[in-house]
Amino acid sequence: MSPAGCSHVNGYKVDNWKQNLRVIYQCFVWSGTAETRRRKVLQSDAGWTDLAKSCICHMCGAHLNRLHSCLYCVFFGCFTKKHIHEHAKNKRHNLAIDLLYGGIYCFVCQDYIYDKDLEQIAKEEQRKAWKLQGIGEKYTTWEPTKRELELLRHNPKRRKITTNCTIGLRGLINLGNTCFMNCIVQALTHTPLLRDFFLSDRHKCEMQSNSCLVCEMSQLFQEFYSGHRSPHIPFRLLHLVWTHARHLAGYEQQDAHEFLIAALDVLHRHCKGDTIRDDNGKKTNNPNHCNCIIDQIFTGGLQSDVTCQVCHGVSTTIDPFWDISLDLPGSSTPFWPLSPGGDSGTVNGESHLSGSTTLTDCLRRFTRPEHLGSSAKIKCGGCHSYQESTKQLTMKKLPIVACFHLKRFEHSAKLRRKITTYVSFPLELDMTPFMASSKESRMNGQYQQSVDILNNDNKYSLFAVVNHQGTLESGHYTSFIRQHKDQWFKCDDAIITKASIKDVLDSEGYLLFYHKQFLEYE
Amino acid sequence: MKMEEKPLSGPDNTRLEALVQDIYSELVEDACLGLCFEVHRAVKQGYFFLDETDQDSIKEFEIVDQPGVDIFGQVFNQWKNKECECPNCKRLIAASRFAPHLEKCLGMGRNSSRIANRRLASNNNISKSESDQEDNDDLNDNDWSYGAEKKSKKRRSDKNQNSPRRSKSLKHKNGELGTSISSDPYKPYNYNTGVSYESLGPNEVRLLLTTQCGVISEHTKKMCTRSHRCPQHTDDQRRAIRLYLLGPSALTLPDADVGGDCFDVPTDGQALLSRMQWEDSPDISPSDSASSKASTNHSDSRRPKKKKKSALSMNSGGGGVNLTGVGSSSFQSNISLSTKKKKPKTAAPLVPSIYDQLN
Repeated sequence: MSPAGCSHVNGYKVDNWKQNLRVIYQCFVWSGTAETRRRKVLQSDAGWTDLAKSCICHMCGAHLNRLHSCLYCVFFGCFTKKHIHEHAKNKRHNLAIDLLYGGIYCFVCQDYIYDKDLEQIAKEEQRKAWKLQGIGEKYTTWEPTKRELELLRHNPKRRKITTNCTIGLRGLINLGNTCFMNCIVQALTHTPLLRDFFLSDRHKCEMQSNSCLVCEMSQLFQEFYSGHRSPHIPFRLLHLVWTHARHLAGYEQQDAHEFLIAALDVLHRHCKGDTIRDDNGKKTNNPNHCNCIIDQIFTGGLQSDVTCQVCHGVSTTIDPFWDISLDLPGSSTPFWPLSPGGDSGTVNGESHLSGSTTLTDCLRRFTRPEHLGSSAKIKCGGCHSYQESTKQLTMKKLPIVACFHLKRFEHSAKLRRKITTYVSFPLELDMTPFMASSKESRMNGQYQQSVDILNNDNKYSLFAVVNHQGTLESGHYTSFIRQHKDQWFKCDDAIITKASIKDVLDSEGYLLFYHKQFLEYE
Repeated sequence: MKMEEKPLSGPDNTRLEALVQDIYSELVEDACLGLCFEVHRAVKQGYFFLDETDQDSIKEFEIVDQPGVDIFGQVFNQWKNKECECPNCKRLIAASRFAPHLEKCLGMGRNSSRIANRRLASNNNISKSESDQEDNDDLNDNDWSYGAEKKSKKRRSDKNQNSPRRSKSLKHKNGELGTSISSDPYKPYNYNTGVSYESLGPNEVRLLLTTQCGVISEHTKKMCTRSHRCPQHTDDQRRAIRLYLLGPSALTLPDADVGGDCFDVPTDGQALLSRMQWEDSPDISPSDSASSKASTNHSDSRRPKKKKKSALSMNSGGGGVNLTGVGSSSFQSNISLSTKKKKPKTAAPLVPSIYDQLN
């Protein structure tokens, strides 16, 4: 019996009480739409049928006034006029249920009580009703268990993370040209989903040795939320990354993007303990279907359609990706013109100041149909011969965190240089025009798609920007990260300072991290 | 209240308004009731107190937004003395030099194979103190402190990477100088920076001068420890110092001494190659101002390049030397080796402070 329950409930928990209770919940409390209620009523016990149709107080006929149903018999009474109280006294039926919120009232205790078993049934019924209504899962806040409450009471010193709080922010010491690593660490520690995963201790380590990078990541989050002010020294992280990603090892200036991919790869490999188990309790070890937190957050699907110019047959492949590398104007590969008949106008409200390139421009170029030319003929399955074709990339599945990599470092045979063209990127990004589904509807003749404001699936918000200052040979990485919805901070190794949104949007931009705005339960 | 069948709208709208009012107040009441239940439940279940925090804590963690300080209210650049324990060798290393240390410690990166090869090559002849002294590289790796990184770092040339060690190992080959130069591995400036001739006896000086350039630097008042072919000093200077230190009889030493070509004694090709490289390369010293670090960019290295391939992307760009995929020969940590030899340092721990000033 839970501490908030009462002993008087025991008298109720006899015979077929569970089923009775369920019926009450289903019919009168959370029965979804009126339609379902009617349908449910027809299916349920005949004895309830007549009365269910008229859910009103038996004494005064009111259907408002906090109507309660007796748990022991078929009686409805309003609370405000104390009709249910009278019934309880007369019949000695001590329990009643509030039809609006499903709370159980005990007349002996004269208060609402929360019994664990009763609540369990209530929750289940509520979930069922939501499903019927099409709401699916709803978010419920965390509630501590009895044991957790005890622990919390014994440890009253708590830090509340308010909007003006430094907790969650921490500098990182540069270990010798490791600014590239520091920026990626800042971006990862400020990825909301990743933060939630690690702070709720969801990683179950299965590695025997001490060299699990995910554990180190977890430790990193603890350091960031510890409230310490001195910068953290990520030497263990460096050591682990170098041992697990040998190609990165070596003391020299490195590329932040390369580090990101390597780090994600190692984390993904070390996440074996956290994969979802299927119904048989076996781990789904399929490498293509990994369900670790890294894959859940970062992995998207890139669809590549190759269309034969002769028979118009399309061959489609979908490849997983962790980032999208975008060419920039000024590189040796031509940027303009974009695709013929592409979307015109600004999709995402970026500033088109005197022809400056926007992120949307880069994305449009990325998803344009590309004629592969006569030197690159593809074997067409339909024609059974080599034909010219066009290739087009679109997003099949967008990850929760989309990382855009602006290819500023050019390594063609003729030149090696850094492209410093300013690319303006938006705070909010709608990826709908670049989705595979949009492309299909475009091909089906719906050219001018109205932006569906209510469709939230493809809306993203910027939360981290990694910048590079300097030249190809030597430079310095800094990052901007977002905390508490609208606060931005500049992270320059050990120095964290407040930054304005303007600072962020005016920066050159090398790696851009966007987070999905609306997350749905599966 | 029974629902009556009366027209809702009409000339008299009060009834409609009344109904609307009823519905509205009902909705508000229901919403409030829901909130009441939530709070009631929280109190009854005992977790209502979780939301409380004391004012002091809130003040303690408030974000500071003032120029010159970070969000914690701390002044910039006060974190010079952070240390950490290397997971590999368990030594305490200065945090800003951890990366170069780790590279050597783990035997990764481009230099380590070369260092290892060199060690193997000279391992037969070397006493223990030699290998200890090689470890001193870590302690002397102060070239890549935080401040220095801010300046432009062009690729350093492949100079002197072997010669200081060459002469070092030769010293020990001769066996005689093992004691004259202090063999304490943890005194940084001893073995490869400069020698204060005042502390040495005449015999020691003579022995030294048989293998080293020996010209006294005006800058530090110490003898140059490079070989007789040292490009920084002329033969005339060398002659002069010998004259000065050893008297007129010393003049014959440098020419007759086969030790002048001490470099050639080990016949393995690597030593030969490294000597040739060293001769051609220009001079850089850590005590020079940071801007002069812009030495010629020796992008075409004499060593064959290894292309560096990353696992998932070919974009190995970035502010880094690895761009051209220079796998084997490396220029950066060589600098740390070579610059140690170049100009005698007063004491290594002081060097970070120089960078502070440059900052």
